Amino acid sequence: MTHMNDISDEKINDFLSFFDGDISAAQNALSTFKRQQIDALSNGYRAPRPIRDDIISIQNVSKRYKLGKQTVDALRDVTVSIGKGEFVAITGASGSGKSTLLQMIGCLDKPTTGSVIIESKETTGLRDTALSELRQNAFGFIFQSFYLQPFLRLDDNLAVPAMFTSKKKNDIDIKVAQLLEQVGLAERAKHFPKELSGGQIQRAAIARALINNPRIVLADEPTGNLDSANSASIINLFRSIRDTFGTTIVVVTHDPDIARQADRVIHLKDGAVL
Amino acid sequence: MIRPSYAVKLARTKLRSKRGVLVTSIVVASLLFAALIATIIVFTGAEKSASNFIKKAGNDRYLVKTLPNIPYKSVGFVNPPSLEDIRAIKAFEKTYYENLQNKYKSLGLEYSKDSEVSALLPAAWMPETTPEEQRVSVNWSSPVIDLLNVQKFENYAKTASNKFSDLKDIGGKYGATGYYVVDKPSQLSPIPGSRLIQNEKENYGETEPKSGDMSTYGYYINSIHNGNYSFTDQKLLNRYLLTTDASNLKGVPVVVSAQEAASLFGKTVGLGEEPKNAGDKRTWLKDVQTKLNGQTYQACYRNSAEQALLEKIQRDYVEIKSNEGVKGYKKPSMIYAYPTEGCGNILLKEDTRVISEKQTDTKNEETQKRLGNYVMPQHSLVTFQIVGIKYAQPYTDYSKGVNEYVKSLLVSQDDFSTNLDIPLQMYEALPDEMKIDDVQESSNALATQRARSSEDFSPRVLEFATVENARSFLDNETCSNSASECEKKFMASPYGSNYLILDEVNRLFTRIVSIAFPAVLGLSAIIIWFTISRIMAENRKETAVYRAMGAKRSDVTAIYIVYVLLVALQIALVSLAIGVVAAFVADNIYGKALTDIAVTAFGILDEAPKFSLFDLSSPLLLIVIGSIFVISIIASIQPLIRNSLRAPIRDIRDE
Repeated sequence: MTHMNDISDEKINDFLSFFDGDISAAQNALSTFKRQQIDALSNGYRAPRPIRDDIISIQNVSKRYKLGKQTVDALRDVTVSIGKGEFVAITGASGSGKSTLLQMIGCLDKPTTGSVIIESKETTGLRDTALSELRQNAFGFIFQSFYLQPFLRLDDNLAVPAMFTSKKKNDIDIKVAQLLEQVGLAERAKHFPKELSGGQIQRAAIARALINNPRIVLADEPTGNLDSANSASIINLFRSIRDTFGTTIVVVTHDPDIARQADRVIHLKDGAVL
Repeated sequence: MIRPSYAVKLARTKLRSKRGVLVTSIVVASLLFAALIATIIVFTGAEKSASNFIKKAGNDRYLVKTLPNIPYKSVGFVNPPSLEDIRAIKAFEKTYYENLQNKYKSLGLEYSKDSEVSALLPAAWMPETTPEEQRVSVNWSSPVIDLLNVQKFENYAKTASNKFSDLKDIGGKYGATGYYVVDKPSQLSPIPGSRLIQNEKENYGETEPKSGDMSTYGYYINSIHNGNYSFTDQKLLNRYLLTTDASNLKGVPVVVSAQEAASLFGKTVGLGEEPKNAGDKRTWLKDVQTKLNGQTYQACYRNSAEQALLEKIQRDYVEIKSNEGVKGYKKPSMIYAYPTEGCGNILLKEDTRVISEKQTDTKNEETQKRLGNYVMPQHSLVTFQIVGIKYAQPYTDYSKGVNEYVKSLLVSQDDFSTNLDIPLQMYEALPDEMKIDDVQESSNALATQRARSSEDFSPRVLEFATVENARSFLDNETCSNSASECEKKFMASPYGSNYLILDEVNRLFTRIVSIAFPAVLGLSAIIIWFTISRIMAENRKETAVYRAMGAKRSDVTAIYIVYVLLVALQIALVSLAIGVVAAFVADNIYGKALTDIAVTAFGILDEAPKFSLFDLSSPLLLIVIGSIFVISIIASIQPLIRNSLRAPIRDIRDE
């Protein structure tokens, strides 16, 4: 937003007059420009500070950790930016660093070098409490194994992320009901996870990720345990979420069909962006 | 920070994970605490019940029976005697017989050396290495020794610092509020000096006291037969007395053992044998009290001259019998016969003395009279009336079982002696002709005994208002009655009940709890620590997911603290339930029997308190319950800190 505000009205008028007042054409051009910029960045082009409406900016991030006696370079000098409302897929072979990148974005892990900027805020130096608050407000996580609490009913499971906020119980209950309705599980509100199908569990996990109205949803192999019909349904759900709420969706997947449906694909190999 | 209701909701989900480990831990920890809780409930009940009985028995007083500690060497001799004593006895003996000889001479009587009884007898059994002068033993039958003993006691009494007046001074320092006469010997001599009259007859064949199992109990339950009596202040006997009305007494009032009374007089009033079961015993005891209250019996007291005649009858009978048909055998010239009725006169059966024999006998009698030594044969019929019943407690091996253990706690071994109690105040109210003060003649041998039972030296019971005062007095001023060596002025023991043992058991209980409590806490802490650590390890991924969802460290910590408190609550509830049920069962199993035991032990048959092993009033219970929560929190601190500091990525990376 601040970048957009840097552009004067005069320049915007000049830009629009280039398209003879055709707003739609201007928007397409702008979108193409953005995509080129992103592609350039993805291909290792070191741009200066992003000038577009990036919500996630990973700059020169490397992650090295020890696994027994071995040193593993999970990420090597990765620079990636993701715009607000984008649906991005991160792909790569097993061990390529997809999940590490996702965790880095979600502020669950800290880079060995480089910086992670979320909503224009440098996060690498933040304290644990501030990181928790950032995760609480900005992110919604969807895990491959769903991690619904087996001894909580579905409505309580959805409410869990909100339990860590200061939201009122009544507001949480309303939001839970809305989300259950949206993911088609309203009738299953009082069921335990073991009473749900795989697809229902995954939809519940997505609904749970949305309980705090996150600006970014991070999903790690969200369709890994689902059949193709359910997988398609989940991707549609992501699209719908993005379209309805303008939420940024970042999905780690090894499934090319899923990746293809994303706005953009970031492909990793041996910890580096291809 | 997570709201408490949400923390409870999330914590409760953890109660269902690792259920096997959790349930096992809760059960084990609960059993440990339950044992502690049951012990506290049972002990508090027992302690309170015993205390109620003790208070009821002692009228809220703590009694101590004291005896002056009179070193035997100061007032008597020992065998073998020391060289110093030997020389002193010899010197005294020489003077004694010289004086006696002079007395005979002055009275114009003929003195015979043959009448002398040596104070020291040769002791051939002593080793030859012992100097000859010391190879002697004291002859307790010698009048010289009797007289020396009297003199020794008189000398001791002049400088003694353990007289009754001294006792009062010392007792006063410890707040003693009463001093009572106890076990003051009567002047009646036991069997064979006295014989119980049964079916209007005396059994002259019995000459030794019956001892039963040779214990104090054995002698006590045969005391009517043995003729052992002593005076005790009526206030100390209150709980055994069936009446305190002295106006219509038909004889010397006496408190007897239920066992002997039932055995001697029970058949005539339809009393059965003593039952073994404590409950039946209680009913039986009540029956004994009702049916034998006021029962009278008689004993015949015969002085030393009459006893000598009875011995002669027996001796002559044996001699005549064994010489039957022997040629030239000459029967004794005077033959006596046993009285034909109880406490009757000894009969002269045959007198074949020639004139010269009669003259000699008359002369001897005259001589003794002139010397002041003549004792005329005499006997007295004494009537006793039962005014109280005491249930004597045999020795109990406390290790045999719970009942025996509690019994040993309650029953004072010093509450009865070998003598039957004559309530002093009731006795003093008797008309003179019924009293027994002058039944026996005086002698040097009795003089020492009388001096010991004098006002200055007779046993006393001191009354204290608190167990602490009684204990301080006992600890600081007295030795135990069973002490082999004592350098204090008095010897003493608790009287009326075993309150000091109870006090000691109380202290022991406190000591046990002070060890068991930390041990249980320590073990439980380990169990809880292990459980919490396992649960946290099990839930690491879930914790990491919560952290990814935005939970702060404090939120996770709060969830686990609530979880720990829920676990502690379960341990507290389960242990309390088990402990209470165990104590309740113990009370149901043992309560009634213990009540019966306590009732018979204390002789409190009317308005007797219940002996209960169930009492929840101890503040220790609250402390134990509270400690479950505290120790649970303490035990979980380390895993909580470790869990809180753990980066969520470590557990999510495994995804």
